[in-house]
Amino acid sequence: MGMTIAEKILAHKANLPRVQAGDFVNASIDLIMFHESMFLTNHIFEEAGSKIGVPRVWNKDKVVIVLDHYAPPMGKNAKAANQHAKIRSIAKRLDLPHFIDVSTGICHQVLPESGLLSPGQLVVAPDSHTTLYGALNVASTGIGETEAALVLLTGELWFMVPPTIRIRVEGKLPPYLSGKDVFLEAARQFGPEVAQYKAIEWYGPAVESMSLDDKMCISNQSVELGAKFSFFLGDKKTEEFYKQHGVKECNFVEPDTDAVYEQEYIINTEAIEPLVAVPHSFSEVRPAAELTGVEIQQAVIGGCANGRLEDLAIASSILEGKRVASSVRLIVTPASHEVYLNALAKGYIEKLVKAGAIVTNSCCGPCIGNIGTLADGEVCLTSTSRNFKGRMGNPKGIIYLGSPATAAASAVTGRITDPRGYCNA
Amino acid sequence: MVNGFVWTLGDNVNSESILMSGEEERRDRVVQHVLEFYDPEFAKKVQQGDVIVAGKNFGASSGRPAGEILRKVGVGALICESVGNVFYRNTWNIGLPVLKCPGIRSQFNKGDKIEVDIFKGIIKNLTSGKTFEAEPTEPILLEIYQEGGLINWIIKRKNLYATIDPA
Repeated sequence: MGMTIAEKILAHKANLPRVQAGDFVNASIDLIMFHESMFLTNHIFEEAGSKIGVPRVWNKDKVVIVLDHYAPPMGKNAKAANQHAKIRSIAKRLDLPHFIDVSTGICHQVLPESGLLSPGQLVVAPDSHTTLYGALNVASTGIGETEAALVLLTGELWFMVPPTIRIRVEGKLPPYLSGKDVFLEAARQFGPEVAQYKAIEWYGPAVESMSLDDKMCISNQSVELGAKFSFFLGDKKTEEFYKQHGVKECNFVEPDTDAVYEQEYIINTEAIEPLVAVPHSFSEVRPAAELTGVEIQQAVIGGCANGRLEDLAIASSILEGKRVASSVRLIVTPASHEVYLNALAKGYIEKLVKAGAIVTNSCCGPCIGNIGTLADGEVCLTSTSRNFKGRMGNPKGIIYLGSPATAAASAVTGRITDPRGYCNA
Repeated sequence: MVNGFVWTLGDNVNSESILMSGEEERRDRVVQHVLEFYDPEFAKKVQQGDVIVAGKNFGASSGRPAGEILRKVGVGALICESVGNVFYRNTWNIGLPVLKCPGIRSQFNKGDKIEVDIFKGIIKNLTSGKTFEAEPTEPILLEIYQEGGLINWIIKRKNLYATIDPA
């Protein structure tokens, strides 16, 4: 009996010839990444009796820290500034080579760009959107700050090998649809628990033709379907990305042809339209076209879910020559400064600013309300990763979630808008 | 054994809204506002040993340490129909058990008296007189719970602890 991608990687990291779904293994971790969560993990060591906080790490080369949540600290937030200072001193004391300070970007884009990832690795971080690197054929998942402390000491973590579901995506994404809509369709059709404690393997003709940016969005958002891992196979685009970022050898992991899957699902891109998750969860997803009565005061394009070059490209093409509605604030946050520079070179940033967008530095900002906090009762259409109550800094704010194209078109009209009238074929 | 009264919640209660991480100024007073979105009485009236019975997808999506706050205010156990996997591990790690029991939500009303045997997974509604069995819990999580949470589990493992405290 063959193995799925999750089974193969966990078997390899647990030094076992084979495993199957339901087995418990102790696996060695290839990389652990922290953002400002390092402050919490350090505090956990203090609670455990270590006066100096994190006493040591099992392998300096396998620890990455990216400061991205208060980058730089804003709104007179001395607490955040002091946390940053503390984390810098921790990184120095432990002599960590992979400490990445503010002004580089959001951790989930910076880590792929760093050249530290490679196919088949097992990577964890105290952040739930860590599933993103599955788009790069990496087994990656979120853990808590307490387990992160354990990993720092031992370099290992227990896993229950998850069962895997397969999702086949038929057709081809037209310009007005993107990875975000594929994810929203999965939530709509199969519910936000379809992958609860499971791995997903995505495949099919639409997957083969979609961009790496689309795959990263889908893997990122898969945690909202309950996914432990969310895998794509490696292909030329993946290889190209790795090579561009200094990773020369790409030994992609594929499932065996006789691997066993718990269930198979199908999404047909030709049958879907631009979608929006209504407040305050992913349990209700509706076509944007059905929500045109909803007025918005803010739109967000960016973040780790949809702040990549293609997202900025579609947004700038929709906004070119137009203006953001006077009743709307459009915030654009590129996922990293590498993306920002590429977007500058291509003229996207200029078009967005000319249309009235507020283009911010690359940080984990608007997604969690660090930038663009909502007023009571205000409505935001965001392409960031979550629409939960209070997420954008005000429990009385109301958040709808859709693709960058939907957000851009809605910013122009001032109400939730299906982008099909705005995208050129 | 956990003994107390029941608080009920619906489906898709995500860990971000348990903590109300929204407002910066409220973060430090989070204990006073925990679960306010869902039940404003909870923070004021919850007692040691009380149990939350919830629907599907409890602790959805996020890894925020919501379990820690719930344990701090005295909750002795969480019982739900299904649970988000990151929240599940985090919450056991902090010393608060999460039991999975499909169909359980409709078997309890707010204020019912409850008794839970965590290790056996036996749930008793002392008000209605009915007994239920939860899905078995992973042995490693019960081991961690027995030690009082992951931090204590780490401290008790001598080879790790010896290197925690420098001379």
